Amino acid sequence: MNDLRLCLEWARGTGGLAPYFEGLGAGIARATCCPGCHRTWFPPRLACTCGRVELQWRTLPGSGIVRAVTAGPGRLPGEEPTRTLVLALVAVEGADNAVLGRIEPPIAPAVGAGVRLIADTLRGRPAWSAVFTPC
Amino acid sequence: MTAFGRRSDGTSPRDWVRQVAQEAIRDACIGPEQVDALVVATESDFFWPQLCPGALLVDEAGLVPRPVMRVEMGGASGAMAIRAGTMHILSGMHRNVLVVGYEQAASGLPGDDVRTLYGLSFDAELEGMAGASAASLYALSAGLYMHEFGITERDLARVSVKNHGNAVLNPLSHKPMQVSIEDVLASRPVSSPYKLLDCSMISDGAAAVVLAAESFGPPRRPRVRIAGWGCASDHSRLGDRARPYAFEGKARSAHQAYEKAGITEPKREVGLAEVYDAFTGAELQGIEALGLCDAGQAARALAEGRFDRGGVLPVNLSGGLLGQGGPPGATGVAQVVTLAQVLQGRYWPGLQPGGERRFGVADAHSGVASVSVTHVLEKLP
Repeated sequence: MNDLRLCLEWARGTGGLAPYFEGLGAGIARATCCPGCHRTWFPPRLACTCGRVELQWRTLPGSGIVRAVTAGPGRLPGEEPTRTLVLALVAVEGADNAVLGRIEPPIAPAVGAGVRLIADTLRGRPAWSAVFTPC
Repeated sequence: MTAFGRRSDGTSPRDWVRQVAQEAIRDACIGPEQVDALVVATESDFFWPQLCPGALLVDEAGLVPRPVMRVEMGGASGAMAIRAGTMHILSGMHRNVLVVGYEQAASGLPGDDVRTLYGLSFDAELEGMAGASAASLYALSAGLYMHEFGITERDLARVSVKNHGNAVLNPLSHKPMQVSIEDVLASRPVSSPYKLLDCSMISDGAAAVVLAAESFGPPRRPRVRIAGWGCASDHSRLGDRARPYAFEGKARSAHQAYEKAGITEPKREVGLAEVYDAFTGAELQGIEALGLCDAGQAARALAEGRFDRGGVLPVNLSGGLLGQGGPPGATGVAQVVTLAQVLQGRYWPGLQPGGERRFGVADAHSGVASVSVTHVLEKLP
């Protein structure tokens, strides 16, 4: 067999979600709110489930409750070393949905525990992850 | 179909596709000249570096100048190709359509790279870049499911025991193993609550079937038709779903398929099912979404033997993704091949269930049941 080696480096844009990702880098929860059905989305949706697409940005406090949690060995895309990743579905106060976030330090919190959004400083800019820490 | 597994014999998907295409055409009792069109399913061009594979594979299968279409829908790619082939025939556009699914997911790239790529097949920007993997997203859904219905890790392990055990009798399977519940519980952690033996394998393989407007099979072979078909979506991100533990898109897809097949009581009328068991919990969640038991009752029914190969409603006789293996492009096609052969009474001897079974259900999805595809196969009298 012949080996083929490709090294692929993408330039990824954040597009309409730029305010969200910029907020993650500063530990600020930027959500979208639908003027039609008044639902608030964090992570933000750019099209509401009611069908409207003219959503407005608003900032949430950034505190939340863990709804589900999983832990195991993993790695972030573009990162070589495998480490323990703790990921959780977090219902952020003021949002009608839940966000997938990384828990730091990587110790699994109990379901129902309170967490707060902190700045994702792990990999520079743009910050790709919603990162939470116990509060 | 080819064996599913990790190929180390120097062959490539073009060899596998050529093989299964010839086998399917021969099994349908037609000649290549009677094939009107080809539908090719594969999930990712990253696994086998051949972009635009349809154009190559129609030639490789000896079917030029027939039309060809490539279909992709993640883990449901093969099932979606069956749906596309069915559309070809129902529209009257073609009479005989060859559907081929393949994937080189095991032997092409290192496993960590494949897992990273799979992690980008959900919401790549919002979740994949945050470190989500297939295992972690399924695990979050399963954790909520367990909490909602009081399901235990032993309940999940029982799925692995059943499907790996069925795979022992399937000569084409990737991981034929007799494992115990304790073996599953003791296997290494992947993403809690999932451990290694709760997880399906990343496999190489190919499968093919001919869909026809009329049967060309041998006179004595029972005829099987696609009696129902469905497809529905759910929000891609679990957190956007009202009940992230319930596969509601799958339930909608199944409802469509049952309605077309004239099935009003799936629990009673469906005689077997191939369910998309990417992880053990997903089989239980899938069985319930397909209406094959009540919500929260799949684990108990499994423990009682209802879904065993000798049970009332065998689930994943093939071994499923857990035991037979999971090459995404081929999986949905292989499910249909399995169900057709079981309904015709010509499946692997140790796995051919007794009794008369009229309906079989094939179920696959992409994401964590983000897009579900259902087919009902019916044995005709």
